Amino acid sequence: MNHAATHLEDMKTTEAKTVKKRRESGVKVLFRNPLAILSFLYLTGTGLMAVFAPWVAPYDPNYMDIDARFTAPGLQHWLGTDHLGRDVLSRMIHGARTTMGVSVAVVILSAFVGTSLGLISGFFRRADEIIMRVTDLLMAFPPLVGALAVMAFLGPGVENIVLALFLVMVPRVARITRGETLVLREMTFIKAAQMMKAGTGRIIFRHILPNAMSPLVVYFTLLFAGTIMAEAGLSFLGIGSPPEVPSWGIVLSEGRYYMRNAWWLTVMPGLAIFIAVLSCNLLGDGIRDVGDPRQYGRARK
Amino acid sequence: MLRFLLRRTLTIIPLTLVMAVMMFFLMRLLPGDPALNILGPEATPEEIETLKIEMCLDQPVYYQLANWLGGIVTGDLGKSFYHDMPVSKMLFTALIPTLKLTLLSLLFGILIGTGAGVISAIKQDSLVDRIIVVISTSFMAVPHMWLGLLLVLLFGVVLGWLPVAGYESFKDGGVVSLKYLILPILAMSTAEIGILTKMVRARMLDVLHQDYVLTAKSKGLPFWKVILKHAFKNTLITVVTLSGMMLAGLIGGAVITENIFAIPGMGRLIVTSIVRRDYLVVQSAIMLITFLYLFLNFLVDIIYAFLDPRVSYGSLKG
Repeated sequence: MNHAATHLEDMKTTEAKTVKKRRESGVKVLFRNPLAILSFLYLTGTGLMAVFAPWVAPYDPNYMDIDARFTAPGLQHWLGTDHLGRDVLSRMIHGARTTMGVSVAVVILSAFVGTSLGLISGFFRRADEIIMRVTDLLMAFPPLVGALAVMAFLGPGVENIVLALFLVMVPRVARITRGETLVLREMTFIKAAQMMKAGTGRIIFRHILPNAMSPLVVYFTLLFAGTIMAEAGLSFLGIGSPPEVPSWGIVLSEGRYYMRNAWWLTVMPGLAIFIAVLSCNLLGDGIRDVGDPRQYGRARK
Repeated sequence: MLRFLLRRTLTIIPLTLVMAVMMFFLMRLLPGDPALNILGPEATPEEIETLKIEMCLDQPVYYQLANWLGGIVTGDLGKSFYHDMPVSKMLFTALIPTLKLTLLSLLFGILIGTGAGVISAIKQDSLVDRIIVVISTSFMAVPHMWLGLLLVLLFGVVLGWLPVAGYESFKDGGVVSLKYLILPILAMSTAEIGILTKMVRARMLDVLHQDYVLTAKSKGLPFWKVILKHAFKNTLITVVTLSGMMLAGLIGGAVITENIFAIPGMGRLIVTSIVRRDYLVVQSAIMLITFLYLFLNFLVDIIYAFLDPRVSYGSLKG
């Protein structure tokens, strides 16, 4: 017994070493992928712009210069002005605050709550029944329609979007985490840890969670993309963020009536959403490839 | 098989019921008096009282709940506060355009997505494959509303080939009425085409490397026979599984697309009713669209069970 235990302990340390080694090379593998680098740069750039919006934006996003209505993109206004003479670039930089802020909040909240629920669900039978029935109910609504229902009852507002999208995303995260947990807990190394009388907490946090992390991180990037789209969609429909708070969806929505004369009002905000979502997807693909052992063979050559 | 069907059907019913109750209580939780919300601040107390009686708001809550649940069964969902029209009639007229739009987009998406995915896999690493991969990756990231607007700008405004917005029922316009649906379908199905192409390509590549495909090839079967009879058939299962998932995206897409193209469907009805605070319509429309979604997913499950002999009907957890 003692011998077996030391042997297992040995195996664990070697395993830990290889895992560490892999992780280091994992980041390297990711950044060998030029698309992943570009996506990462775009997203961090947008994020930084959102954080420092008041200092980065050339104009006040709500300042109306009536004389300069519908100015085409140029040196004065890089992305032109809208029907009230407001600077589109400034509105989009401030809009990134709403759009990115909502997405970050939703992803962090649903990642935290969803992962916890999934882990609990995968480990405790009785909690599983309850949690799964609740997720069934929440997932019965088609995603955007579920968010619409919540927004209909809460009214427009940035916090309300976060709540609505959180309710849409959280059951999905819980489901995926639960699936991963159920697979992992049948694995030999978990059985071994249980045999060694490791506590449930230790098993969950030291063994299950780190191993479930890589598919989850990929899922979170997709979630981020989905949230950007959903926020823009809700705001576009006029039931997302209130009109006085600029968001990419609001800019797009306001511009559509003037599409014939001012193409930039439609093209620019949409392009911002498109590239942000594309970046999330590409980053997710990159992270997935890192988790794919076939990539290692290729990278080592 | 029958047991599986029965079981699957039975799971939808309690789900719908719980949803109906949830929607009912959500509506009660709304701040303010619904009658006051409808009539506006200038209404006299008598007017509010009359409307309350008309809306059964003077009755106890359990009576109202029973009324609403009974209404779902009998199809009498009450009257719209705003339009003075039975809700069920409004829902029915709005349902047809949405169904048409969603199902046609699904069909179009499946055709193009599967085709592109299969071609891409057969010609792996060729120029065609690379182009398809780039296009499908970008398709997945295109926001519905943006694409819709750009299509309107290009085909409606600049080229003038297709109507900018509007809708005509098949009864009134015949085949010509479809011209109103071309742009909406393109806008809606793009994201789904992207996902499907990607997944079909991956699945097809998997299948093409399976032993039985190699066997078929080495037997000297003609290329198209190997692809169609052996590889493609197995890829179809992926398509069916994904179409359930695509429906979720398409219904969300329909809500946005209908609002861009002024199509009088469920999505537009929900959004305009939210803005008008016509809650009974919102509540009923969301119920109906969710039920429809569950039902279509149920159909997908059945098709899946028929197609894949490996699915065991007994052990499937509803």
